[in-house]
Amino acid sequence: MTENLITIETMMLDLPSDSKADALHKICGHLFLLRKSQDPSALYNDIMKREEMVSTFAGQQIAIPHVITDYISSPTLCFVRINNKDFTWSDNDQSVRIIFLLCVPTEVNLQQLRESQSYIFSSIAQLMGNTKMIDLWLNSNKAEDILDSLKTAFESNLHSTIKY
Amino acid sequence: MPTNNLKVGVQSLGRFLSGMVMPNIGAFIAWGLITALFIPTGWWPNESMAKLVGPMILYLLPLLIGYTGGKMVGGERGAVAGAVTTMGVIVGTDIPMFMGAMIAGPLGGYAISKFDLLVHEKIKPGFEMLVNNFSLGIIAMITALLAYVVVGPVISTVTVALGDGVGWIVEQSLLPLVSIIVEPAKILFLNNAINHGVFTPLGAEQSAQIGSSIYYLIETNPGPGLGILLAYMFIGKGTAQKSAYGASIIHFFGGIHEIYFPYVLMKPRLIFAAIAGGMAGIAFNMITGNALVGPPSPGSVFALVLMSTNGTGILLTLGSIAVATITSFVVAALIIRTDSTEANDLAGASATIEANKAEAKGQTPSATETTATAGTVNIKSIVVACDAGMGSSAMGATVLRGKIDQAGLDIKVTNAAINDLTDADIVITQEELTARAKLKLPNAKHMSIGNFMDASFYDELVKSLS
Repeated sequence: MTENLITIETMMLDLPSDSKADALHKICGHLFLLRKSQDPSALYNDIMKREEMVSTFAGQQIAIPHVITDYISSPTLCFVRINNKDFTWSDNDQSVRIIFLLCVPTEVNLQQLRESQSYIFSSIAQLMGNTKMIDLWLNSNKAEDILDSLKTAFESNLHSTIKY
Repeated sequence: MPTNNLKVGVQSLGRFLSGMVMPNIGAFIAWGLITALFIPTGWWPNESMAKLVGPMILYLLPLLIGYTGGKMVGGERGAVAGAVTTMGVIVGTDIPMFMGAMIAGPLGGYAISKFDLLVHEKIKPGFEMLVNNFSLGIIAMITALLAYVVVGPVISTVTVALGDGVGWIVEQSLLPLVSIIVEPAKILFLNNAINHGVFTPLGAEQSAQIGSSIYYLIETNPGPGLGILLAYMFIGKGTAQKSAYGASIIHFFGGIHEIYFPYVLMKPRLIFAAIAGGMAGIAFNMITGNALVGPPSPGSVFALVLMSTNGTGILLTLGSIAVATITSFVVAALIIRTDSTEANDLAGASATIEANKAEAKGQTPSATETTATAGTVNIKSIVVACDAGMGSSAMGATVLRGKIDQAGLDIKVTNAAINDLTDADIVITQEELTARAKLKLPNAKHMSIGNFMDASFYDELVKSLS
């Protein structure tokens, strides 16, 4: 289930960007090139609509924009590292270097959809408690290493730790 | 405390009933305005436009109530099932089925929510849409048939009996006596429950038959409250007297009746003034035959005037407000003047009001916390909620779940979208979303968090729960 959620192609290390809008624009454009989205502009609008409601800044230089949208073909997680130490998310004190963007296509049963996708950010929250992991995300030049760290956590959480 | 339990029970039922009506008050007003304007005795009689009146009262309004009732119990799918079920009670009778909708709507929602619970995570991938659509269709069909065969006839009988009972009260000229119940209940913040749960549906039925209803004027007349505030302005002292000026404007023109409740709690004997004012207003309307064509919401003088019947309706409505105000004022002035206790603790009374208000909403007093101290016992479930229900809330729930487990507490921690909130002892949301969450789940204790990954907030919460 997690195989195509995040791939090497959906990881962007050291993306040059100077604002949230610019970064999200570039990521949506990238998803269009990957044929994950037929309408990157509408996808961007949906993401921003969610952002306007409340910031997805998560602390530790991480932001987690996420959206349920008609403009993505399959659940997709992007890992993006920003190549700009002055990059901020919503406020000046929300310094961000890593963006996890999750886009999930709309389904009839939204509640079921939400529950089925919760393991992703639940896993990321667990990983954020590990300083070595943050260090890996911030500094590693090997996208594969980062991808492995995420996939291992996703697999583990998908089958075990999330309890309702 | 059986009395307290009874009060909480009545408040819960009232809250549930008014929860079905309140979101649809706009539709009631639209219907009321169309009725006031276009029926043969309306402001601008128009036979063609008046065709809207019948279908709206018979179909639209009950369906909206049924839809909302279903949604309250079973979410979006429950809403659809509620609406379909409501059709069962609507077609089984020729009277407006408000009471029936209040039963059929939640019944449909309950049936679908139970089914969803039963098959949750058991549907084979790829079959979700098929199962969802057909399960809803089949269950709604069954509940609609059940409503048609069983609920409809029962409600028809009950409605006729109630109508006869109320008719008897009116014939015996006893309707003013309802103020003895209504006015104290208002001070306990049962005003919306009484008005929208009881009088609005009764009024809509009567209005459909004769074009207007006196029931719309029973709870909404601002006169009793205004009389009390005027008495404070002219006879009162200190803070209460000074603040009564502003309060009377908000009450009378804004229709926010809650503003005068602290003034009654400050001198509880003033409830007699409210009752006397209410009785006088109702008596005036009974004698003159005055009534409104639709529910005035809020109970502002402007709304009452707007919903008055044509001809002398506006004058009679203003007259009923004046009579209620004068009566209430005279009684209140006597009470305030003869009160030797000089009790003037408006702040204290306001605190009591907050407690009553919170209780009426099913919350513990001060139910929104900005710091993470739960302050309550028997917490069994905590939901971290956000808009999408899979991002911020999933992360927050994970952090909190770890801390709860670490503390060895037996508390279930989950995450959800605000729209999916159905049950929780505590709901944690980001500050910007707390108001929405409160609307969705008023019974829960709500806490606001700045950043959903704020470990110190969760530490403090766990500490208070331990």
